Amino acid sequence: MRLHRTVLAAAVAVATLAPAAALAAGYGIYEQGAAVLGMAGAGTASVHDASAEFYNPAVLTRLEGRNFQLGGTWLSTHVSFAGTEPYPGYGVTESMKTGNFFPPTVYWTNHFAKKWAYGLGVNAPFGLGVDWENPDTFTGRTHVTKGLLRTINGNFSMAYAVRPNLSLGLGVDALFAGVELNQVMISPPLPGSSGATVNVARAHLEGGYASNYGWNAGALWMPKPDWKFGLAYRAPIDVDINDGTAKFTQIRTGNTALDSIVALSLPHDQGVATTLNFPSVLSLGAAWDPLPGWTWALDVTRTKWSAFKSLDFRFQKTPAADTSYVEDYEDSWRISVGAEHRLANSTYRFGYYYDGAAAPTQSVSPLLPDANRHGVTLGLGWKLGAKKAWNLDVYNLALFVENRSTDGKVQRSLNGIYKSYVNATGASLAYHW
Amino acid sequence: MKTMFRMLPILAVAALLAGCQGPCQKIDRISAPALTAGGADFTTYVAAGTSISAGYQSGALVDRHQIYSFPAIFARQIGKTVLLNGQGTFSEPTIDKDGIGTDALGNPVGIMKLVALPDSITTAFSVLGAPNNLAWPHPYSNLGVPGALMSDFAGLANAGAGYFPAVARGQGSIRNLLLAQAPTFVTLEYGANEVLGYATAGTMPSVALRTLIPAMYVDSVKSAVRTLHAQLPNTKIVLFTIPDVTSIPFATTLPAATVSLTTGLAVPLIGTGSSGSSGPLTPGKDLVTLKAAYFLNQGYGIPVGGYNFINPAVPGNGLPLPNAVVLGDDEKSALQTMAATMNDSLVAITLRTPYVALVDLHGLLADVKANGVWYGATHYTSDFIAGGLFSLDGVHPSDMGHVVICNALVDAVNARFGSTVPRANPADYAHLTSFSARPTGPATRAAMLHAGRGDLGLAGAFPQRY
Repeated sequence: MRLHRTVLAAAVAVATLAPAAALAAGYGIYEQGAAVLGMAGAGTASVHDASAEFYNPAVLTRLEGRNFQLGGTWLSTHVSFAGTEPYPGYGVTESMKTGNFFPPTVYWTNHFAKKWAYGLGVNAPFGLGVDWENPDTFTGRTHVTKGLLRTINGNFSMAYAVRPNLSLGLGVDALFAGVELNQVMISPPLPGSSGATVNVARAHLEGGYASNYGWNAGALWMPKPDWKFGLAYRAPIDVDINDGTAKFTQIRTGNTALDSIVALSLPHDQGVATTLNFPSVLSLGAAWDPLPGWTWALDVTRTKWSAFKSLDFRFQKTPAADTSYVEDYEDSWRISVGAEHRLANSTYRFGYYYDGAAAPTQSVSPLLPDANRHGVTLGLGWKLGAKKAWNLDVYNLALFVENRSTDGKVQRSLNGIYKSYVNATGASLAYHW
Repeated sequence: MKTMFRMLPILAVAALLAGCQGPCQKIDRISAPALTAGGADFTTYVAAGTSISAGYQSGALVDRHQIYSFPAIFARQIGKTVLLNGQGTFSEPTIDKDGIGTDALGNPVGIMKLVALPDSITTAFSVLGAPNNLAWPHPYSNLGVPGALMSDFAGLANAGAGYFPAVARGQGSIRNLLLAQAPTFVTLEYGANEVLGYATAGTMPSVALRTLIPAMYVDSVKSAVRTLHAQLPNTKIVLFTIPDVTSIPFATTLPAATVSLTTGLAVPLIGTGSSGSSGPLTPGKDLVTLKAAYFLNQGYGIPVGGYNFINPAVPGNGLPLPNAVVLGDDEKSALQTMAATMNDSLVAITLRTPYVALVDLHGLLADVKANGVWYGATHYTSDFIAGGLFSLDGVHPSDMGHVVICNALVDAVNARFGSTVPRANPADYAHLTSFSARPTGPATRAAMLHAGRGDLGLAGAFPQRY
């Protein structure tokens, strides 16, 4: 008697988890600056604080003096699922535990030489967290019970003001990624039974942090004082995790014959390797100041999720167990519109964005329940301190995710409708001198 | 500061969104599409047929599997109640305890049970049951009779034989019992015994019978459909094609060859063909049925010096397997030709008869044999014992197998009559059935072996006509 599965792993972030500005579908997090997020992330041209280090390095030449900014977000995710035919069937509902995530941001910008500026940044551009309730009975437990993807990116960028109204920027990234995947393994139909199966083992895969390098670039053009156009590009990065570990823990069923067969056929704890694909992102932005104190912005972003073709796991000791999940993601588009009104001592912001799903229907899964999203943001900002050297920005993003149906197309995993909602509340505190 | 307070309402809205209500709530469950009858009428459903319709499994008819026969599952999908005591709105001639089956000698025994892995199947631990719904004041909704031929539908020739007394109770032919209920929806599942009966007996019908049997079958089907339609013009009828002998594990589990202990190369088993002569079998063409295990266990069929895969301790004696447990290529082809003729006629009848739908059981079981059935991450196959779709006798589907058949019936009915009967959810039917405890002591195990059943014990529990 052989067990069906030998563990798999690797994270792929849950689409619903990524709040913030340019949240692409899949596992992007563009929660990278509270002010820009207040404007629904339409920051490629409009950004005017240290988070330009992320949104558009070309803007660094336009920031005055030195800027140091610390930011964080509280992301809370709510995901549930209702089953249809064929599996798990009508009437079944499942939920994820409410997820709470806190991606951080740190930025430092400064000038050097006459037309040059540079910036350093640390943030989490991708991420995922999945944690289904009642893991031992969750109908998708052979796919995932709990999964995590964490990334930390370090960036160094330089910008040059070619002309007073044209800047270019270029940066290098070091992206660190770590993953964890948990599954429950079930027996084949028990001999002599009418199809009954039992949980026989738990699989835990973990790997990281592994890293790789990438680059990013940006341009900013101000044809007129009240018009800005921006372009930003982030190159794709593949991170190979070669020294992950896979641990298998047997669940005793009490049936001695079955337990001994499982004990014999359960894979040994061993090394496992996988590759995480992080897609390229291209953004075009426009910002217009129609009235004094007002800025309206529009961003269009394309994330090349087609880089994510499959999720593969390669086992060190039992290569026969190597598995490949076909994902075949599609490039996705996001459009954001936002506005900012700067008053004497405070600023308020609001915006909306639409972000298209990257996962084709047959790839929608309990690990990646991707769907189209609509984000509504509100933000506030204040200049504080005697010299107004401090800047505090806060925002809230209500991310309404469309229900995503599998249309019965998923093979061997859950068919039904996923419902998600994400809320992100964040703040950035900056000091410039 | 003032502006800060003025902004509080905005903050409050933000906070409210953060502590959202509607979007954060768990999704509502999705209900199956409502049952609508379309062009059919499911008010009264009567099923007639063979052991498959009856829910016969693992060599016996027992209530805990009769309630999971495909007609019973379908009855639930169209809103009927099916009870263990047989007295639901879809009534059945239930048999209690471990049911009633027969061994090779015709003695009544209970259902087969899998006693100890890897493969110890016996009826020694089954308690013979008895019909417990004989007093039901109406004809049963489920008129499936193990062993029934199509000619038994209207005929009374076998009224006193086998399971007929338990189902018909001497009250008339199956057809008349069906008509007495004025059903609005009928399933007629016949034909398996005409063909597969020879397979289980390992014999071949004579040349004349090979033509006569399909002709009689087709004639009986047409007559049945005509009579039913004349008396119940609004009733819809469903027919079923006959499965191929190679799509059941009974005929395909045991190999026709073993390995030589000296050379390690494959050597064919020795068997007796339909002509009576013995010799090596042709693997890939000749089939060895599960009943052969009884003989292999004693060394028959295994060439001298060959590995006895049923009982390695017993060496091969070079003597042939009897014809009854060998399905030679010629026997197999004859049965396949008969089934093809019968199935073609069923297709023709259905094409020209708008009130008849056809379930392609032949195609379904062939597909399941080739590809299995995936349900979530579990792969159900036609493999013997371990596949989950066939019961311990290797012929009759398990409860889960009946779900697969029922869903094919649902699809055929919905497609033909425009109804929306919901499919059955396999999760509701995937359960433990045939396990029992290990034999309590060496004495009982010795008794088991002494009964000549060997490790598999199948021959003793498989009747000639089921």
